[in-house]
Amino acid sequence: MHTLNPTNWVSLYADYLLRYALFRLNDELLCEDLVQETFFSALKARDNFKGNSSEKTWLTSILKNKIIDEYRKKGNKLEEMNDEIIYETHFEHPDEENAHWKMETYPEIWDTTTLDKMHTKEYHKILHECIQRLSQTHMSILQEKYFEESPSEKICKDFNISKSNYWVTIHRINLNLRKCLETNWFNS
Amino acid sequence: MKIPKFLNINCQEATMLGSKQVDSKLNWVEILQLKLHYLICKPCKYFSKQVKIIHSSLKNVKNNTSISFSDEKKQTLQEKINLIHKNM
Repeated sequence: MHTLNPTNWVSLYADYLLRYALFRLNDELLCEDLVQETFFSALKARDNFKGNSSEKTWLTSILKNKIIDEYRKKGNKLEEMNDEIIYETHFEHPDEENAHWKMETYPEIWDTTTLDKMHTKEYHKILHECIQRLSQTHMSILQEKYFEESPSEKICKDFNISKSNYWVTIHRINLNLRKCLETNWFNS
Repeated sequence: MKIPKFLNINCQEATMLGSKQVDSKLNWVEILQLKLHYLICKPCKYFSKQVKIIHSSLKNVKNNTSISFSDEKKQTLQEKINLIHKNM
């Protein structure tokens, strides 16, 4: 059984939560505010904490909701991807025998001088923008995979998807991110 | 050369395997399917290379975020929390 100990919260979780928020929002000041609000909301809702999950998991779930609210506030600014049409966008006759690339989504060779600049701030900004254009589900899966570093078995369980569904999802995320990076970074 | 039907895959399947390969081991049939497909399809070959690049840069997103709260902000925040906590 887990208990809450708010007097240690900042030293234990503040930086973790900040980085968690930054994975999705890439706005340092906004993320700092969200972390602060997470702690305040958690204090108010402390009676709801049943001790089934760890303090860290509980605080993270509160932060997750705050991030989603933030997306809602942004509203139409970000055009959200429809996961179902990703295959249609990329392939002629998807799911059929002759599912080949569409001309406009053909992967091109990436310029090596641009590859060298992949550690720069500009690149990370664009990577973040591409991540933020994914659907909420895809973004959550991506975050669990790369930020929480969960193995695929855990992700399948958490999102209640089969292993083959998992690979389809990762495939769709990859198609999307690749195209977005190619358009906005490699060939811009 | 005619590729036997069970080894002949399309671009959707090839990129799916290319994407899977980043995280897990493919079986020998899948590896052969991919190799044969790459002989006739450059875009799919580029795709698999690029997905590997994206994978490593996503891993770096976490490692690169060494961003943290300043000590001063941390102290103020913890004081606020303690105050609310005490008055509850």
